[in-house]
Amino acid sequence: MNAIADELDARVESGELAQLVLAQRHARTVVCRDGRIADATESRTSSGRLAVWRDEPASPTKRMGVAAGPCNDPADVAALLATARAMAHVEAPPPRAADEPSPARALTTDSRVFGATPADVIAVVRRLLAQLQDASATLVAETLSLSAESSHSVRKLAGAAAEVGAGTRLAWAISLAKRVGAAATSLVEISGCDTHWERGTARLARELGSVARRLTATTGLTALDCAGPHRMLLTPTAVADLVLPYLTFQLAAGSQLSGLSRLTIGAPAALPALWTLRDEPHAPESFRACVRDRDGTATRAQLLIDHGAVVAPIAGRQHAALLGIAAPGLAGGPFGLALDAGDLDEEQLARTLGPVLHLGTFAGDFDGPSGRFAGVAKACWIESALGSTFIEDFSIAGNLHELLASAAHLGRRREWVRGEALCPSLLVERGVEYGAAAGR
Amino acid sequence: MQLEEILLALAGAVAAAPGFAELRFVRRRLSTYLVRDGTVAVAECNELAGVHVGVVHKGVRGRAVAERIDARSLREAIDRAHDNARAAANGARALRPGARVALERPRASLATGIYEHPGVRELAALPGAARVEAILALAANARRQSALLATVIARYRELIEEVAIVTSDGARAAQRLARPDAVLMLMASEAGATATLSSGAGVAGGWTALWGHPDVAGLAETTVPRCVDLLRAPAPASGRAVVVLAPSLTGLLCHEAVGHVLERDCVHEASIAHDRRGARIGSERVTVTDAGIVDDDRAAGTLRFDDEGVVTRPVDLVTEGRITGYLHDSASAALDDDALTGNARSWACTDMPLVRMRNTYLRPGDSTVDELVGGMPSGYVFAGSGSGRAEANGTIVLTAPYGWRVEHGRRVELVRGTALVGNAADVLGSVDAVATDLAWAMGIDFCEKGGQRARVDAGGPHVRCAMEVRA
Repeated sequence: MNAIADELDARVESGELAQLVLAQRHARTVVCRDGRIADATESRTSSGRLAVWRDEPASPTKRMGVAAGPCNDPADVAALLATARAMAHVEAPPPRAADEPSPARALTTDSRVFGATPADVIAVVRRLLAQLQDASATLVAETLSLSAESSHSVRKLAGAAAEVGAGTRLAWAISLAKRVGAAATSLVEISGCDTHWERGTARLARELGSVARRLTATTGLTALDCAGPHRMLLTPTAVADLVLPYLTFQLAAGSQLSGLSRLTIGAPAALPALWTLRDEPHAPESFRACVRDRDGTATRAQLLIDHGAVVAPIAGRQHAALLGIAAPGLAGGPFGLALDAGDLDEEQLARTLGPVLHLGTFAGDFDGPSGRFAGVAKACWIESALGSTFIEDFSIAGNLHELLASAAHLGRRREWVRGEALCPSLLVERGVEYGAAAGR
Repeated sequence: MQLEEILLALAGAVAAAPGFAELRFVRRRLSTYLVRDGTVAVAECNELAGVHVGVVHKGVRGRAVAERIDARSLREAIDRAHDNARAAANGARALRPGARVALERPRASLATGIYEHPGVRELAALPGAARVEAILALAANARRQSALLATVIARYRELIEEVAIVTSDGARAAQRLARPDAVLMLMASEAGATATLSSGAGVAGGWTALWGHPDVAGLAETTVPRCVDLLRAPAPASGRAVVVLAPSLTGLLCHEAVGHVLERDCVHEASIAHDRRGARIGSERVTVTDAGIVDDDRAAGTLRFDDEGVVTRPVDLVTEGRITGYLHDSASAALDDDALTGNARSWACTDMPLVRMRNTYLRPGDSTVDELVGGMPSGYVFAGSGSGRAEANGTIVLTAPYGWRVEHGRRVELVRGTALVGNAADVLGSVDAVATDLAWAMGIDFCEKGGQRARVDAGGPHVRCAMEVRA
């Protein structure tokens, strides 16, 4: 990879700056359907993303173009460079690595997974299937997909030394069906991700066991028969699904520049003080962890929202220049969002709280400027400390800005969700309408 | 390398491979130009390319990827795929008694030949600067329409797809398609109120096909006034209502409530569509078809053959309200002993094909739009390019960007966007009138499934049904 990266120095022309990010990805995926391994895939790919900044004769600024594609040998660098030059229409300041702080280190999250062969992945899938069979005769894995992925990257700014990084990820997606009687069945889906092979496989086994036990103990899933605004407890996964995409939109420099954001940098706090959000680009648990952003700026831990007030945008060099701030190193980011924990003791809450909807996952869409959202969720209806009921996919809609504003408490414990974000639980009092579950 | 040369290289590797082999070359080149407030903010070209190799051992698929198209790289990828299949099959549970594996495919259903969709050469001959000029002009035109626009974003994307596939059982075909799209995204602002609206179109075809599309010609002139009017528009009232859906939302309804629900790889035992061929899922006015080739060759999901080399065949998913078909890949068709449909699609060469839609549409009825609206004592007409979700249990959620409140058969006021929710069978069962005005309206974006993209289209005429409005 270094030889390919070094080709950049030979190819850049006078009046040009260029940056090449090379990535090698090695993934192994095993898919099981109906209790039987059906598919085993292995793929190795090498790709490059090349940005070039060219002098513009009629302007003091440079024009930027970007090309991304396969990059296996030095000749591919020339092809990417030609495409990037042809795409150079964006008026943008060039990268200036010299006046940026140096990255602390080349980042390696974990190397254990590099030793995981396809046979290792297949063995884990077999173990999980056996675990399911032991849990209950009525449970079956409709689909079970386990994917182990490792990547190496080289970042090279023309004329500068190359930097190497590495990352790993174990991702899973499982749908479990429970057969009740001859025909009726119920379905639960779990998915997750970890950046450590052994920790990830252990976590997956625990999670699968927990869901299997709950599903076995349930006599059947029910439709939600309550509608209207109710108290709701969001799991860390639901927070990552529902809240973080909205905050990311609001903090994006494009939204700030376009006036689409309701959370303006430097304005008085628009959210309750419990909201503090950071980006942690060097957290080993984050699959997106990196030492330099897409523009080549060194990344660092950033405070984005401080007790409800926006203090920094998610911006690259071009947008930062337009906003009149120093580049925060978040081009192509965020790289590991982390919400600060709160004071909510979830276990105590479960013992004392009255009826509450415990939202597990959310999938849907939102309108960034207004905060309106609608989608499908999975949840538990907690009637009391003694009883709870699974609720299948049901429709949910509301306004995310109101939801954030009405947040009552954040949980004490946080967990990494899919290797992307560190989130606590969240208790909200209003802002969401739900109901009209599917009836079969 | 030209597609003809690539086909030869793939055919040589398949002929030398032991047992069944399927080699698929994929090259997708997506160029994006985005103009924000008068300046080019994004100019980026992303290309994916490589060869996906699939083999079968004792009913288990083994797959690998070759990054280069030479005999040695292809042979090594075939060997790795065999290693994976053998490792997975070793000690695996036997296939279900009577289950067919996907290798026994009728030769007549497999694709041969090289196809090039109109428009590819037109785009290849177009200077790069023409794209930038067109999108800058679109943004400038929008800006001229109103002083209340706080934000104007215009985007042009161009997807060039080249696929070549050779299989041991007889597929040997290549296709080259272009799928450009143009979108205008606006935000209007006045006295603290804001309104946003996006509109545009995507086609399979070239430059002329896109800019001549009725939803793109005059895009700024129609979208800006509507966005501005939405500043003062009220929200619709929440609750169950009779609604007329414009073709864009009818297409979305077909895509979410029928297409996804009948993708055979998503039909679990818990699905409302499981083992229900012949069961009623809609009123007698509902007939929904998914096809790779339709009368309008600009439909953005146009496809000659799928990523397993199967010729695309129209599938009547729902006929007069009853389930009559499922969308299949080769494996699910074999398991169900059903005909191949050509719905196996993948995005990158590293992706395994999933069951995906092509062009999904509701067949036109016999009413006029005026008759649909005129027959409503009260309710709403909803329109615009929305988004949606569907789940296996039938829950559907659509977002409609704007609409009109209807009283006594007349549209009385513009209303803001809303979420429309319901159960697929309930909503389709409530369809009591279908207009004649079929239009394609979902080529503007990608459908996402299992982490993969696919360019699909969907459409239909105006329909009248009942849904829950969540303002």
